[in-house]
Amino acid sequence: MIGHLRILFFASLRDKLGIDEVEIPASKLTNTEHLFQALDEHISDFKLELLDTIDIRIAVNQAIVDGFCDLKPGDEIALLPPVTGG
Amino acid sequence: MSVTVKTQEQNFDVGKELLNLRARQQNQFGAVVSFVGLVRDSSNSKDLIALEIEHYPDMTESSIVEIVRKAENRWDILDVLVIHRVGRLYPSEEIVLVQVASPHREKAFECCEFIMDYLKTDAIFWKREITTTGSYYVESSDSDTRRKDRWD
Repeated sequence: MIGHLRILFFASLRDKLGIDEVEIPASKLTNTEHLFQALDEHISDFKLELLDTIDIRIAVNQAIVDGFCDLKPGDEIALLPPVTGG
Repeated sequence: MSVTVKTQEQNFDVGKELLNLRARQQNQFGAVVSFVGLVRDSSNSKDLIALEIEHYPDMTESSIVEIVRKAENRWDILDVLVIHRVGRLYPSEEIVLVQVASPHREKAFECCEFIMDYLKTDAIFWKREITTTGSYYVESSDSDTRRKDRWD
C-alpha cells in the first residue's frame, strides 16, 4: 500500500505472535528505533513482552540493519528470529 | 570465479552438478569437493517425522552469496555452487549441496568447510522439526558458533 511500511514476521516469531505480516502508515514510524513500540500501538493484543525473550535481528529491504535506520514509505522490514541452515 | 546459489524445493543431482561445473570451467581446476548434508532421523532423542525449512525468498540467496564472497577473499577458488532445499524434507533426504572447485585440494576442502560452517549460523533459514511429540524450531548450537568462530 502506498505510504505504508510492510513488516514481516518469520518462523518462531510469527508462530508465537500469530502474525505473519502487517502494514503501518509510514508517517507513524520513521526510524527502526521505535519499531516495537509502533507495532504495540498498531496491533491490538500485541505480545510486546515476547520480543524481549527472542534474539531478533531486523532487516530493512532485505539487508540486516545493525543499530537503527531511517525508514521511508514502501520499505519492507523483516523481524528475523535466530537462523540456522545447512 | 563463478558463484551459483539456489534455494529450491526439489532435490539436486550431485553428478549432474559436477558435469555442469566441467562445462562452466573447462576443467581448469585440480580439485572438486562436494559436501552433501542429509536429514538425520532423530534429534534431541525425539523421533523425527520431518524437517520443515523456511526461508525469506528475497534475502536468503543473497545471505549465502555473502558467505561465498567471504570465502572468496580467503582462498583461491574457481567455482562455488550452493543448493539449499526448502520446504518439507524427510529423514535421509538431501538438504544441502556445497560444491567447491579450486586448483588444489587443500583449498577446496577448507573452503567447503568454511561455507558449511557459515551456512549453519549466518544463512537466512529456519528449521522446524516435526517429531512424534510435537514440533520445535531448531537454533544453531554453541558448537556451530564455535566452528564458525575458529575461522576468525
